Amino acid sequence: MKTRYRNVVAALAFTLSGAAFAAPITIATDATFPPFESIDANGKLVGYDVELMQAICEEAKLDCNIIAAAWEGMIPGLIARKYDALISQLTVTEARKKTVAFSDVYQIPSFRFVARKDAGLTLTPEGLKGKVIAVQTGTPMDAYITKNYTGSTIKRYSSGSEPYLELRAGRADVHLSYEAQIIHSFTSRDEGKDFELVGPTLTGKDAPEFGEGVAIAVRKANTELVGKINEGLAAVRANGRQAALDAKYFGAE
Amino acid sequence: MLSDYITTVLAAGWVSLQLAFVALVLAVVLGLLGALCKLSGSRALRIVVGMYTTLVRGVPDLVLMLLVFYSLPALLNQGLEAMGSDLFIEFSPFAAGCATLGIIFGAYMTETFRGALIGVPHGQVEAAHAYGLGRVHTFRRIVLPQMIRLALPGFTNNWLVLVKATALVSLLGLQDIMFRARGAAEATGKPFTFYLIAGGFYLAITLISLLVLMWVGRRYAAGHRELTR
Amino acid sequence: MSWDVIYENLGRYADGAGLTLMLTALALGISFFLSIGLALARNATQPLARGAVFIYTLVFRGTPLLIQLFLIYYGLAQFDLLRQSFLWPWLSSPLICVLIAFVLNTTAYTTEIFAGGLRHLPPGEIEAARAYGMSWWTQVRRILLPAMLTRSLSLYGNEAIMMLHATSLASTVTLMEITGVARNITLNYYIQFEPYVTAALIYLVLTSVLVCGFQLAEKRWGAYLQPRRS
Repeated sequence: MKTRYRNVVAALAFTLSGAAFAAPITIATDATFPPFESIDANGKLVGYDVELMQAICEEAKLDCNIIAAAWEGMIPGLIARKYDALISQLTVTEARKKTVAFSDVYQIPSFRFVARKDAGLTLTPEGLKGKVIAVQTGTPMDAYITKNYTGSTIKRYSSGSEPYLELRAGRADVHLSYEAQIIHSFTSRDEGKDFELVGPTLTGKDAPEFGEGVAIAVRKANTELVGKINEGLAAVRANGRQAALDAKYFGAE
Repeated sequence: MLSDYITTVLAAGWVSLQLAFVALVLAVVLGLLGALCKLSGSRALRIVVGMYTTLVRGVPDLVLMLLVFYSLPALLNQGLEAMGSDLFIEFSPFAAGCATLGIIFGAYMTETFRGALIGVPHGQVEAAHAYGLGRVHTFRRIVLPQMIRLALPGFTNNWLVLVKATALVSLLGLQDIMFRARGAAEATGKPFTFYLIAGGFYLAITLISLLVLMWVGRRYAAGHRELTR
Repeated sequence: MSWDVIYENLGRYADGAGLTLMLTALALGISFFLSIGLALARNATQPLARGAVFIYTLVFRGTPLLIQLFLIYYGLAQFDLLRQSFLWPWLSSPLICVLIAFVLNTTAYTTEIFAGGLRHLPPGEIEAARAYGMSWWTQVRRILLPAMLTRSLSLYGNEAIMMLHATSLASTVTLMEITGVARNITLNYYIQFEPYVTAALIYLVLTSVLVCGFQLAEKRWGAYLQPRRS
C-alpha cells in the first residue's frame, strides 16, 4: 500500500512538472535467477537487479513498474514494445547489440561450471565429449557451449533454475552459469551440498560470447530512456547505493 | 519457509480463477456473436467466423497462446511503427492471458452455441412472433432458456478444458498457480510436492464445477420431458 | 519481416514435425490398446474395477496435462529411492517421461470415449450373440469391439487431434518438436511473428490430414450407423 501511495505521488509530481515520462515504464525481468531476480516465498519480486533498478528509477525520477516475464519473450517483447526496458543480468554481446541498445555496464559477471563433487570431469571440449551439459537457452552460456562443446549433448532450459533440478536428478552432468547464481541458488544450499564449482573462471576476456558485462537493455529508438537510465546509474554509483547493494548481496568483494 | 511457499502457491490459485472467469465471459460473448454470425444470412460473416473456428481448432492451445501473446502485438506494433505512429499496444500479462484464452475458447463456444441455437425448434420462435413478442423478448424468453439447456453439456466441457488451459499461461510469465508452483519447486528442490498441490487445486475446481453445473442442468431441464424407460 | 530465418531453419521444422508425429503416433498407439481394456473394465459388473477406472479417468481428465508432465519429469526425481533404482535410466529420459504422461492422459479420455460407445450398444446385439452361443471372448472380439470402435470413431478422431496438439507441451521438457523449434528460433533470432506462425501452419496441415483420415475411416467403417439414404 505504501509503495502504491508513493507511486501516485510520483505520478502526480510528473504531471505537475510536465515531464515526458508520465506513463510508467514497464521493465521486465526473468525471475528465475536468484540472487539477481527471483520471486520469494511470499510472491514478491526480489533480487540485486530488482533493487538496483528501483534505485536507478528513483535517482533518475522515472516511474517504473518492474514485472516478471518469461525469458523467451523478453528481448522480442522489448522490440515489440511490450516492455520498455529489461534488467535481467543481460550480457552485452555483439549479437545483441545488433537488435537492442544497452545502458552502461553495471556489473562484470564471471561464469563457472558446476558438477557433482565426485564427478572428476575434465572441463575441456574433449573431456566433456558424450556428457550432458545443461544451459539456459539463448544465454551467453548457451552460445559458448554450442560453439565449443560440439561433442557433448546440450540440454537447453527456458528457466534459469531448472538446470539445478536436472543436475540433482542426474539428467545433466554439468551446468554452466553465472558464478554468483550457482553459489546462491545451489552450492551454498542443502540441495546442492553434493555439488561444487569446477573448472576455470570464465569472463568476456576468455570468449567473446561472454560479452562486456551486464547492462540494462532498451529499444534502439528510445535513446531518451537510455540517457535517463545512464543518469540514474551514474547517480547510484556516485552516492554509494550500488556499493551498498554489492555488499548486501555478494559480501565484501 | 515451505509453508510460506505453499500459501503463496495456493494464493496464486485466485489469479488462475480470475483469469478463467474473465476468459469465460469473453469466450461466451465471442461464442454468441460467432454462433449468430454462422447462422446469419451474410456469407462474408460466415466465412470469417468459419476461418476463426477452423484456425483455433487446428492449432494447439499453447501455440495459439504464443501467437496471441507474442506474435499479434509484435505484428500490430510493427504495423503502427511502419505507419510512423507513436502509439503502441501494450497488454499487461493478465489482460493478454485473458484475451488469449477468451479468443481460443470463443471458437469452441461458437460451435457449442451454434448447435444449441439450431436445436431450438423454429416453430416456437414463429409462435412467439405470432403472439406479438419482439425479437429481444423472443430471444430472452423463448430461445435463451432452451439454448442454455442444450448448450450446457458442451459449455461444461469447454469450461473444464478452459480451467485446465489456464495452466499454460504460466509459460508466458503470468503468475498463476502453475507459475508459482514452478518457482517454489525450483527454489525448494521439491518439485513433486508443489506440482501435486497445484494438481490438487485443479482437481478440486473440476469437481466443484461439475457439481454446480449438474445442479444448473437439473434446473434448466425442468421444462423438458425425458423419454421414460 | 524476416522470413529468410524461417527458410534457413526449415530443416529443423521438418525434424520437429517428425518428432511431433512420432510422439503422437506412439502415444495414440499405446493408449488405444490400454483404453480398450480399461473401457471394458469401466463397464464391468465388478464395482471395484469400475470405481478404480473411474477415479483414474477423473484424476487425469481433471488436471492439466502440463502438471502431469512436470510431476512425472521433475517430480519423480524428488525421491532418492526412485533415483537410485533400476528404473531411473528410463525415467531420466525426457522422451520416456513425455510418453508416459501423454499415454496416461490420452488413455483417460479415450477410455471414457470407448466406454461411452459400449454403453450405447443396443442390448439386442449382445442378446443375439448370446443366443448364438458365442463365448465371452468371441462376443468381445466379434460384437463389442467393432461396435464400440465404430460408434466412437468421430469422438476418437477429436481425441487424436487433441493428442497431436498436446505434443506441443513436450517443448517444456527440452524436446525439440515443432513448438520447441519455434520457441528456440524466437530466442536466438529475437523475432516473434514468423516462427510461431510457421509452427501454427504446420499444425494446421497435420490437423487437416488427420481430420480427412478420420472422415474417410468413418465412411468406410461407420457407414452402417448412418441413416440410410433412400
